[in-house]
Amino acid sequence: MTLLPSRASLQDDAAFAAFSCIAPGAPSTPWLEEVDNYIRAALLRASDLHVLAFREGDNLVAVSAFYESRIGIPVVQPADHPAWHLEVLAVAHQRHRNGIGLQVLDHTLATMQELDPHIVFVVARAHADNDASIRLCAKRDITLFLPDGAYQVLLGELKAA
Amino acid sequence: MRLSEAGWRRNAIALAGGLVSALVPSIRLSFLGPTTAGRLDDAAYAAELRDRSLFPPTSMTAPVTAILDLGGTQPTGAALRELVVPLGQGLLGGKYGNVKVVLVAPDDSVAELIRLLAREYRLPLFLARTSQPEDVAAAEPIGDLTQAEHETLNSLNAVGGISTVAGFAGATGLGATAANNRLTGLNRKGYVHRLPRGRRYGDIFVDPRSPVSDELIANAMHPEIPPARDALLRAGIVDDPYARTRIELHGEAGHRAAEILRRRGKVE
Repeated sequence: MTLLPSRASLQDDAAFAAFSCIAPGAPSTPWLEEVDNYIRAALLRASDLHVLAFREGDNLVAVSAFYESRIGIPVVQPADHPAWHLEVLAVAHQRHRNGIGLQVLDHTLATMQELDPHIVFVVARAHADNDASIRLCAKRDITLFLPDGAYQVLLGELKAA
Repeated sequence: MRLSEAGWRRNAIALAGGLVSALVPSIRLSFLGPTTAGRLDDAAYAAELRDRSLFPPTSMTAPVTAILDLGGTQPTGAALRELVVPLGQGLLGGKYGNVKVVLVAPDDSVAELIRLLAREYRLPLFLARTSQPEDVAAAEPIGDLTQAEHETLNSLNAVGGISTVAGFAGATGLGATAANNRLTGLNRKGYVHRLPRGRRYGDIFVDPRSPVSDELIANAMHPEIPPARDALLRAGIVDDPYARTRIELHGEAGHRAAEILRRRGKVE
């Protein structure tokens, strides 16, 4: 079935509130539970996020969200550089292991480029033990840059337009 | 519009319509300087101001954080006492509803006097230097707090100012009973808001100095879903994945990023 991306709004609240990336009864991790809770209640109400909904037919099968941030690279110059911060990327449990994650990531990166082709960096923060997210990002060369407490800051380059 | 009013505007917008006003603390900001034309030297007037315009008695239970800015006025000792002591005693007795109060005193001598009154009469108050959100967030709890209670309040502040008992227990390493005792104790003394939630994850405790976050408003709209960070805090993960802190790249990371910028023609 074709994956249909769209910009999400509060009108999608009911679909988001029912979203889950954890199969009932399946073992979970704190970061999976967190992303479930965050998507179901908070994501659509965060004031400065671009939120994408990915549907197959009427079913919400994946979600991503990002915002514009700044990163400092003192070795180059004192001024900060703009970057997209990928905050959420989640696939519904029913569609795990279908390669959808990479499609969602690709579409999200393309949307970032569409919004501002001058931004070259994408950053993300993943829990150090969140292997699935770290592996997915690595497929697009978004890789470990520096530890940040329990998390890793990942950094990658958006393709030139 | 004053700067501090602009700073708090986001909260007002978020709370507009009153849909969630019973479930998240609203912010009420009052400036005493313009109200008193800079003069507050009469105890009777201070009492009238307190009970009639600033803090009328109410049976409302919706949580409110009231910020009372004394900037621009020089109260006499008697007037300040009349303003602060019955106010703090009324807070303890529930006279004003579910209100927590941050007093703002830019003047050091006024601040010192407020501190002494709060300690002497065990008044549950916070004291800030200005009513800017960042100063209110760092307001000093004054009155009747033990060292352990100070630490509990600091710990709650450190995890974003919002937590369930289970989240607080996970974040601090305390047992569930100890965490519950600490938070309910602070609530009983009047230093934190306690927002009722479902059985699944329990009530939420909120540091009244924290700005009302998008996440808290979202939780009020979906009270059946645990608040943001709760799953992480329960597991002892205190780092905030939503922190909007600026990332700075040093060493090898900085060189790799610089190389990308050079290749893309963004720097010489």
